[in-house]
Parts: sequence; structure tokens; C-alpha cells
Amino acid sequence: MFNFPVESFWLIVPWPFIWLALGIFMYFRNKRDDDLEDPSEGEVKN
Amino acid sequence: MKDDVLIFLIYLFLLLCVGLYFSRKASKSPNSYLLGDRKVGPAVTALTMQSTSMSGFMFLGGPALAFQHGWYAMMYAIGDAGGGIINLSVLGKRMRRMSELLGALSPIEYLEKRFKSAAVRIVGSIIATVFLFAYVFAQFLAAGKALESLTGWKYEWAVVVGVGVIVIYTVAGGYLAVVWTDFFQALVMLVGVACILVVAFVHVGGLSGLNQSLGEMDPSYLSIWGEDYIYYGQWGVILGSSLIYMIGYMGLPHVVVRHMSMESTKTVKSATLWSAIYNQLFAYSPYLLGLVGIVLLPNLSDPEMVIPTLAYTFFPGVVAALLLSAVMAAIMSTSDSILMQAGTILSRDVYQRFINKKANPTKMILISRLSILFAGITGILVAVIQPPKVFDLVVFAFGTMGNSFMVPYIAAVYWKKANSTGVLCSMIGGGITNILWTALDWQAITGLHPFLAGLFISVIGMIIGNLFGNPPTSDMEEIFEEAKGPRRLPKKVEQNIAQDIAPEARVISDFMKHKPSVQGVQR
Repeated sequence: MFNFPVESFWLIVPWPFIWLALGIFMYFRNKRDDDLEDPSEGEVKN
Repeated sequence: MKDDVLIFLIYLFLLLCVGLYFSRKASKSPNSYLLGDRKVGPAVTALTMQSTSMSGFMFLGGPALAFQHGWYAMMYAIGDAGGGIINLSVLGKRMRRMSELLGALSPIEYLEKRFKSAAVRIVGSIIATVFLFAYVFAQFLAAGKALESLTGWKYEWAVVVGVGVIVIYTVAGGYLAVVWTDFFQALVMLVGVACILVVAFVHVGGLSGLNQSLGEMDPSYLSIWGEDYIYYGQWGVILGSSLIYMIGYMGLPHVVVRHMSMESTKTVKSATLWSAIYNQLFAYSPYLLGLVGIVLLPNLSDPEMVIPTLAYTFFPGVVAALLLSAVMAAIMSTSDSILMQAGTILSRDVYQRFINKKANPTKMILISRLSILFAGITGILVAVIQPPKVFDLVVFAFGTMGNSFMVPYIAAVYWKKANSTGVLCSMIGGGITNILWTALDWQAITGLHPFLAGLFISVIGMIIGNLFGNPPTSDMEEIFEEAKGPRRLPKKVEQNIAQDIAPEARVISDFMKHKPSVQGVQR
């Protein structure tokens, strides 16, 4: 595909999708953690 | 005056305005000046992190690498594209919490307070100062050369004007000016490179057409092993090329300070998404333009000029100059952050820590400004004179800082029992390994990238060093636990607890419902 050799295709092309998927996954994971935390938790008090 | 020169001057003037706009806000306290009151939102955090990480190398060195080695260079882009996501996910929340609990304003001070060791701060300050200065000198040199080639000015004047603007807005506006100009410059970088790439792809027939042309010229360009398969089978080199940017940013003080300045731990969530989207749109593009250069500019004598040459080939002078502001944006957004960090280390980690511990906030802001001014003027002089020995250090700057600080920063928030001896061994061992590996070209003998070798030694140093020295105090262990954030119990444990307390809860509920009289208690 895209005139890549097979090895180069599988080592290069999936990465943008992997990173994007990881970014979205981390967003929802952090959102779940934030929702479970106390609303004022973000501001850590000394 | 030529139109394209006028565009650059307007661009520089806008940056100056941003710096002056933030100068009053920055003067409130050292926290305001050095960390923007820890009030930086997700979009700005993500984009300043990216534009700081991605220096002039992205527009000059990166495309040149692709021009020389073909698709192998994309291994660096792959690491770069994920670096921000990894950095925010691994360090973000915990470092934000811990830095505030420790009251640390600089990443080196943070290490000293976490590991309760002045030696950590001394060694950390020395490594950071030497290599941050080397790094910033190189960026200033690049800024001067870029401005010289884009405007036709004399190199010395280009350095004084280009770098002078960076120094003025950083001194005036402090950290807030740096992050907001970085945010703006990240967008300039994206728009500039995207416009050039779209037109370039039209010329070469898209990705398929580009690869077909590359394959016809030299099939090794299409492999991940470099031109003429020079790195064939050397997975240590391939892996190191990706890892250096994928995880190496976690060791750069001027990048990790972004975690400390976030508005709250909740900033991490959206910043990760911003980072993921921005990086996928930007990180690959300069390298792709390097590949386009192989096809469209086969006789180019200086590979570093791939992007400027393509811009002037496709667009009329004024538009090209506008798009090439992206090159200056990349250099300036990295320079200001390094300058800011170098000044912070001089004022906070050297002056206030070892010279005048009782300096009041007003004096600290003044000292911070003077430190940045000192670093900036020194940088301008060095960039103008160009002493060769200084620039030898630049080769080691990124890798050495990454190998020195990455493992300590991660251990600080993930290893409760980590101690100062382990951190010192890790910093010194990792840094020296990277320097030796690069200077003596051990990559050629071992097939192992210098960053990978330094990382390995840094981890070993941390583990072995931790066997010696004093364990962390109990109050530090408490801070560590607090920095981890609220913990949730596993579902099974929660179910068991619910079952265990169920009879008791039922009795209390019945008691509350019927309110029977209790002997000895008046109702």
C-alpha cells in the first residue's frame, strides 16, 4: 500500500493511529479519574 | 524594505507585545514570574510543551536527515509524535501534585526537595546549566542563520535583532510570556509546514507517487534501515532513534517544568488530547518534506535548506516568507523556554539556594530577570563570536540531559523508596555514558544508540545506588502517597467490604428508623 515495502508499511503507517488512540484512551481514563476525585482535588493545598 | 522582511519585523513586534502585556502580571511574585502562578490551561500546556520540545531541528536537521536517509528518518518523527502523550501521561498529574506539595518552583529544586539532598541540586544545576546554555547558544546561532538567509541581513545583525526580541519578551513577561508566545508559535509552525506539504504532495503525486519516485531513485530510501541499508538489522539504533524523542523529553528541565505550571491535575486530561492531535498533524510533516526534497530537489547542496527552498519554489516571496515564519517560530519557542529555565536555575537554584537564602520576593523577581538577561546577552555574544569548543557541547546537550534527568524524574513519583544516592548515580552515570557513547562513536561498534545506552546505565545506577544511602523519611513517604492522588480500591475489595459491613449497616439503619429508647440516654 502507498508503494511501501511490506516491512516499512507495518513499521511506520500504524503509528499515527496508535498515538491518536492512546491520546483518546488517556483522555477518557483521566476523565474517569477526575470524576471520581473530589472536585477541589485539583488545587492541592500546602 | 522588502515585503518579506517587513513580515518578519511585524512577527517579531507581535511577540514583543505579548511579552510586555504579561510583564505586570509576572511581577506579582516569584511564583508568577517563574511558573505563571500555576494557572496554565490545557491547550497552552500541550502546545508550549510541543513547540518547546521541537526546536529548529524540526525544520532544518530533521528534513536534512530524511533527505539523506529516506524513511529511516521517520523513526525520529514516530517518537516525536508520541512524546507529549507519554510525557503527560507518565509525569503530568503526579509531578503537578508533588511540586506544589514540596513548594518547588524549578525542576532542579524539585529534585532536591524530593530527595532531600543539596548534592542532588548541585549536580543537577551543573548538568542543567552547562547543557542548557550549550543548547540555547545553538538555538541562537540557528536563529541568526535563519533570519540571515530569510531577510538577507548581516549575520551579526540578524542575531542581535532576532535573539534580542526573544531576550526582551522573556525578561519582561517571564514564564507567562514564554508559554503564550509558544502557543502562538506552535500554531504558526503547524500552518506553515502544512501549507508547504499540501502543495508539495500535489507536485509528487501524493504519498504513493512520492514512494514510487523514491523507489526508482534508490530502493533503500523506502526501508527503515537508512540509505544503502547502513543500519540494517541494528534494532538498537532504530529503537534508540524513536525512544530519544518518545521518552527523552521527560528528562529535559525546560519541558518537564510544564507539568509544574499546569492549572490543576485536571489539566492533564485535555492537554493529552491536544498533544495527540497536534503531534499527528505536525510531527511527520517536516520529515515528509525532506523526502519530497529528494525527488524535487536532487541537486540541493545544503540538505538543511530543503524546507526554505521548497517554500520559495512553490510560493511567491511574500507568502513563502510568511510560511517560513514557522522556522523562526520553532527556533524561538525553544530558545525562550531554555533561556527562561537557565535564568530560573541561576536565580532560584544558585542565587537563592546558595548565596542569599533570605532574598525577598521583589528581589527574587529582579534577580530572575537579571539572570535571564545575563544568559541572553552571553548567548548573543557566543552566537556572534561562534567559538568552536562551545558548539561541540551541543551534540551532547539533548541526550545528556535526557539520560541525566529522565530516570530521577520518573523515580521521584513512582518509586517511594528512591533515595538521593540512587538519583546521583543515575544522573552522573546516564549523562557520562551518553557523552562517551557519542564522543567515541560506540554506536558504530555496539549497534546501540547513545540514548539507549545512557538509559540502561541510568536505570542500573538508580537501582544499585538505591541500595546505599539513607532511605526517605516518613514525611516524604506521606507526600509521595499524596502525590499519587486518591486511590480507588479494587472492585472485589469494595464488594467484600460492602458485604462485611452490611449487617452492621442494617442494624444502624433500623435503629435510626425506629429510634428506640436507649438505656441511660435521655431523649
